[in-house]
Parts: sequence; structure tokens; C-alpha cells
Amino acid sequence: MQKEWREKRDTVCRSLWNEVATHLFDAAGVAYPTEEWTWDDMTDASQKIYDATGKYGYMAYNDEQLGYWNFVYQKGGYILDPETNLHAGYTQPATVEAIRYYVSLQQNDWCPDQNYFAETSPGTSFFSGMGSMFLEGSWNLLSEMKNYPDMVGKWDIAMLPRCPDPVSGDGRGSISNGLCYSTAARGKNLEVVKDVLRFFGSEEGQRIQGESGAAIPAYLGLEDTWSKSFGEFGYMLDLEQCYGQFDYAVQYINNASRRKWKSNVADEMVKVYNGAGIDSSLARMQEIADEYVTSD
Amino acid sequence: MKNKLKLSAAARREENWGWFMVAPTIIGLILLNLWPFVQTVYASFCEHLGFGHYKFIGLKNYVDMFGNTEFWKATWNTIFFCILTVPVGVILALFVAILLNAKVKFKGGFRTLFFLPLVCAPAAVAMVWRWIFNGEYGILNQMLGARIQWITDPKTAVIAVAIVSVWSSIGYDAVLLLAGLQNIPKTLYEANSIDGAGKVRQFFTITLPMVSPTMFSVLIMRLMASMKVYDLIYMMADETNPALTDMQSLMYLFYRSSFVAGERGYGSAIVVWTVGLILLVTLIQFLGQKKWVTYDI
Repeated sequence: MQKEWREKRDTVCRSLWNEVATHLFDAAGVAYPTEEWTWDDMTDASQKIYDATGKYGYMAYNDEQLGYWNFVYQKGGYILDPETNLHAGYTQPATVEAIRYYVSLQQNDWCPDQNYFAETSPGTSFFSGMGSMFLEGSWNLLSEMKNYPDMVGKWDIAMLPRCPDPVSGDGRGSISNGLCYSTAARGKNLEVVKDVLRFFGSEEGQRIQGESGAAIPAYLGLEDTWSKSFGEFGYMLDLEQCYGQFDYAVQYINNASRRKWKSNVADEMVKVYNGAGIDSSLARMQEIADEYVTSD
Repeated sequence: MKNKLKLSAAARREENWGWFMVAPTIIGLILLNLWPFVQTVYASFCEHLGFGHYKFIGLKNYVDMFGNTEFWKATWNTIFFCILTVPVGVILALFVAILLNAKVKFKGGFRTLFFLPLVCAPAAVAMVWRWIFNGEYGILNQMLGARIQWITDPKTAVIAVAIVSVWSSIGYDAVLLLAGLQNIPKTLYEANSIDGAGKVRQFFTITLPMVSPTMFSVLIMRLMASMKVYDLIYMMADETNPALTDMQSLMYLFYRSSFVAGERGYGSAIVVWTVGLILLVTLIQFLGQKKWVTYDI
């Protein structure tokens, strides 16, 4: 089988949050999202903003990490069985309910449909002032501040809302993505490579990475180095409260066989948005993922 | 080949120099084109284990491939894309070439304009067209006063991509055809008009036969390019595009297999199939050319 050497320590931490167009909230006279927000608060605010300004509310687009996965874990379901990380959970009742809820958000007037998102990304819509909320990842934050100078000060970030009636758990959940460096296990200069990669994972290496603003360092206590890289914009995003999400973060869903089924599962999800029955599609997704479990 | 032995010392020296001069190209072709192709063919019989390691598994990739409906759909999509782009593209290019060959003002300016798309990066072209086609905010729908979901409706998505493909290739093809047109001796037209032939008749009896060898080359190149379409689709269709299965070409499927799913062996099988398809179509064209391509009058 394939051989590789991994630096086990995570070197990059990726976190998710909702980006919130505060200018639209202000225009509609709606209070900004708080830590206590639930799914219902989010949809209420969306409706109010849409009624008052004609702009879209929460933009629930078809995506895994930046979409339904978070809702699944908030509801108490799972994509891969947390015990073994082998078996998919697409037909778990909580998973089914969460995905049904997430997909149905597009039926509201305040949410564009998937045709719209396939042409106009939620980010484009958000930063041109057409929509008020969408799920985004930390790794895009710096470029968004740089690329949309006109929007600086008109938006902020907020914790993901809680599921009001979870099947299990407390309704919290946020996918967090840890990345680590790896290299082939055979190589002429393996020792040197390992040395460099270890440095990337060390406190010093992590500090350099954080200060560049590229991504949140995984080294605990160095989050500030990343926050400070946003100082140049003269407007501080509310990054602090998002670090609080690490307490209930769910590690990015992945296992050895996922790359073989992820495209096919994503294709099924597209069919769901095209109007295919949700139950049959999820059953099919389960089948696709399971097919590779046994062969592993 | 026999008279090779009779070459004088000087001639042999000259031959060696010939080899020396073409060596950079030949070595480049072997290293960068031929050898990777051999590797691809080998990989198509293998399973990729990661980090460049392959395991021979015989025909399994091909068996899987021919049994996959997605693959046949992609094959049809690719052929359909060729049907949409090649005839229209070549005819339009010929039309443009004839216009550019006529006595018009700012001829140089027009030629530059038509050639410009080729200078642009395909990815940038696709991004701009994506905005033009945007169902909600696109300028095309604004002008038509319509709400057509160009890129996400399965019925129009392939047509949209085909339009962009034709738009970006027309200039290059037109320049090639223009060169062909300019090689036609003026005396032919003079003689013909003395005989009393009109412009339309001139086009079919002189222009078309005389430019047919160039058209033949353009046709072959356009077909190959269309069979290999990937970048336009990748840039214009998002992964979550509802019409993706109706647009994805063989090369797009290859990308998904090799680089998303990491199944390099299966991806290589798709490449070998595509090369075979191109070979077949080109062979048919070479056989068919006898019927319409004129090399001398």
C-alpha cells in the first residue's frame, strides 16, 4: 500500500462561521446574530431582512463542509460513524432530518435556489450586497478583506446557530478542518524534509504562518498571531467569539475511501436539489459510500 | 533506402547535420509527449496506489469503464459538443476569412480583433462568459429581456459552452484560412470572370476547391480540440451545477477520476479511449478527404 510519513501535529486549523452583512441587518432593523441564535432565529431574521430590503437572507447553498454537514452535526446526526470512521450515516434519522431541513431552506423567498448558486457564488452575492448571510471558512477571510475594500466595516462574522431541537447533543456543531504535512516515506533527503516539516509544526513556524494571515495556526495559544494580521484593515472582525467554536468542533469528515465516493455522493446531492426524492437519494448515497467500506 | 549507402562523405555529413538540427524537437517530443503517452497506456492497466506506485490489474479499468453509464454519457456529450462546434466553427471561420480578405477599411484592425480571443487565457474567457450568461445578472438576458438559465439548464448548458468555444477559436481558424485564400492566384478569378461567371459561382468553383486543403487542416485541428474540451466546462460549470452531467466531457470525467477520486488508472483508461476516438475520427477524415479536398486544379 501507499507509504507516507506524516507530521502528526495539525499545522493549520480551519474554522467555519456565518458571515453577516451588518449593513443589511441595520437597514432592516434586525438585531445581529448572537451566540444564542438558533436555526429559527436565523430564518426569522432572513424573512425580516427580505421583507424590509428585498435582499436575500441566509444563503443555504449546496456544499458539504460549507453547508449541510454542519447542520447534520448540530442536529445530532453524522456523516461518518464517529466510532469507527468507516460507515456512513446518510440514512440516520437525525442526518436525514437535518439535510431535509437544509435543502428546504431554498424554498423560501429569501433564499436563492441552486441554479442561482451554480452561477453566482454566495460570496459574490454577499459582497455585492445582495445577500445577508452565508457559511464561510476562515481560509477565505483575508482575501475577502483585501478584495472587497468597499465592504470593510459593513459585515462581520458570527457563530453558527444552534439546532433548537436536536435528536441528541446540545445543538452545537461546526466542522473544523485540521491539515497536516506529509511526505512520501521513501526519499533521498527524507531526514531533511522531516526536519523542515517539523519546523512548520513548531511554535516558531506556526507563529510565522499565523502572522501571514493565511490560516489559523493549530498551535494552541497562537490564534492571536492570526487575528493581528487583520489589523491593517482598520476594522476588527469579531474573530474572538469564533475561537469559542473549537470546543464543539467536529473534525473534517474524511477517511481513506472517501475520495472514491465523494464525487458520486455530491452528484446525488445535486439530484436532490434538482427535485429527486430526499429519502431515496440519501439511501443511494449510503449505498455508494458503503460500497467502499467493505473493500477497504 | 538502398541509395543511402551510396551517399558521398559530404552528403553524409549533411545528413548528420540534419539529424542534429531536428534533435531538440525530436527529443522533446519523445520525452514530453511520447514517453508520457506510453506511461499513460501502461497506467490504464493498473491501479494507482499513491505516490507514483502502480499495480497491474489487467483489463479491469476498461471493463469498469465500459460498464459505466456516466462514461457513455460523457462520450456522447463529447461527440455532441463536436457536432455543435466543429461545422459551425469552420463555416463561420471561412466566412470571416473571406470578409477579412475583401477590400475593406481597417483590415488590419479587424484581423487583430478576430484574433484577440486566442491571446486571452481560456480560463479568463470562460469567467467573462460565465457572467455574460448569468441567468440573474447577465448582460445577455438583460439584452434579450429573458430569464434563460443558460448555464444551469441542461438544454442550454452545452450550447452555451459551444458558443464560447466557437467564439474563441474563430479568429485563429480564420487567420489560417485567410492564408489559404491569399494563396489562390488572382489569374484564376480574372479568367473566370472573363468567361462570365458571377461571384457565387466563383466561390464554389474557385475559392472553395482552392482553400479546401487549408480547410481540411483546420477541420482536423478543430475536431481534436473539441474532443479534448475540458477547461471551458471546468470553468463554466460549478461542481454543484444541476446540468453538469449533461455537459461533462470525457476529459472532464478524466479529471474527476484522476485528480478528485485519485483513480489514475481508471482516468488513464478514459484518456486512451479518447485518443482512440480521435484516431478513428481523424482516420475517417483522411479517407473522406479524397471526396472533397482538391490539391491541384
